[in-house]
Amino acid sequence: MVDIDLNTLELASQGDIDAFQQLYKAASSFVYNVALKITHNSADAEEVTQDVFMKIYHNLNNFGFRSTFKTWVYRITVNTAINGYRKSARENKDRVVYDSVIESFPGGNSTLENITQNEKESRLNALLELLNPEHKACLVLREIEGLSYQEIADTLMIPVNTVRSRLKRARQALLEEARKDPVQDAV
Amino acid sequence: MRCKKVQELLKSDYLDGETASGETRDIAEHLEQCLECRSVEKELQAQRMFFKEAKRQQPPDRVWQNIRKAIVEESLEQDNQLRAGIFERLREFFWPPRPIFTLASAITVVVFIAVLAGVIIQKRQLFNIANSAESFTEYRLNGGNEVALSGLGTGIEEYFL
Repeated sequence: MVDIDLNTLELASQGDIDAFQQLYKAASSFVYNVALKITHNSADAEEVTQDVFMKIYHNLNNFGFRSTFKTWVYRITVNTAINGYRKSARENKDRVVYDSVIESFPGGNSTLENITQNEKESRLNALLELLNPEHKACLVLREIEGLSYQEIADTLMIPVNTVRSRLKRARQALLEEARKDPVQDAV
Repeated sequence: MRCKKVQELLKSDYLDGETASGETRDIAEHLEQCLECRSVEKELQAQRMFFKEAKRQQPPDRVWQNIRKAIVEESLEQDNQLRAGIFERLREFFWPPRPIFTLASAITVVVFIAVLAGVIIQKRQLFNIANSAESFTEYRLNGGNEVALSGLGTGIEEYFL
């Protein structure tokens, strides 16, 4: 996420729509991508992004710089995305087609070059669908957003050791799926 | 270092570069010797590449348009509420709302009942005093006329006597 200067934050908190738009430009890509990876659905991700920015708009006045603005946005994003995912999952209980998840996994030795970008995207999303939202959030923050363990812990308000164990379990789950993959067996 | 410990670190700290330098060196040495752990590391690196190659997407323009629209609508609503608030206060000042009349009526009724009750109680007390004075008079009447005549309280009693 691009850094945002204090002056822009100050103006945005006073209701300056142009300043708020700058803030949106700086953070929207992060918010949307995290939401997309957690909800696994573009319509839900758009709704989450909208909710996140409305929450930021409503609470910017109360943001007391107890954490950095980035961490604050990360936290709102992850919490809103997890809630959005759960709400959507309740509404569409049969959203995960397990067979397609297994088929789409790349496997350790599969030739990534042969897989088109769209296929990669759908495989990655299918892969993430195997994980529970908390593990998924940790993995997305680490692998896609590149946050350190401490940053993830601050964002999710959990101990660093919990971050460590969630990442370990998430990767273990993905490895186990990779070993079931017939592509890998064939190689 | 044992394979189990190495593989646990591979899935977390080692892969994420969070291990201390000594630990990193120990794991690297172990990987050179252990085929199984090297295979796990290879799988994890492949998995990581898959994440790294994920395309970053930009939210569609309509997301910002919706946010902007919602903010503008909220601002307008707040302004309207503020204006309506000033008008409401003025209206309440000049034309107080009905509950005020209701409350005032209720208070008036309560005060009226209280005053009425007070008057009745007061009258009763006077009546009791008068009665006790009458019995005193009767008592005195039995005692002697001179005293009794001077102790009579009302004209009507004087008339009958």
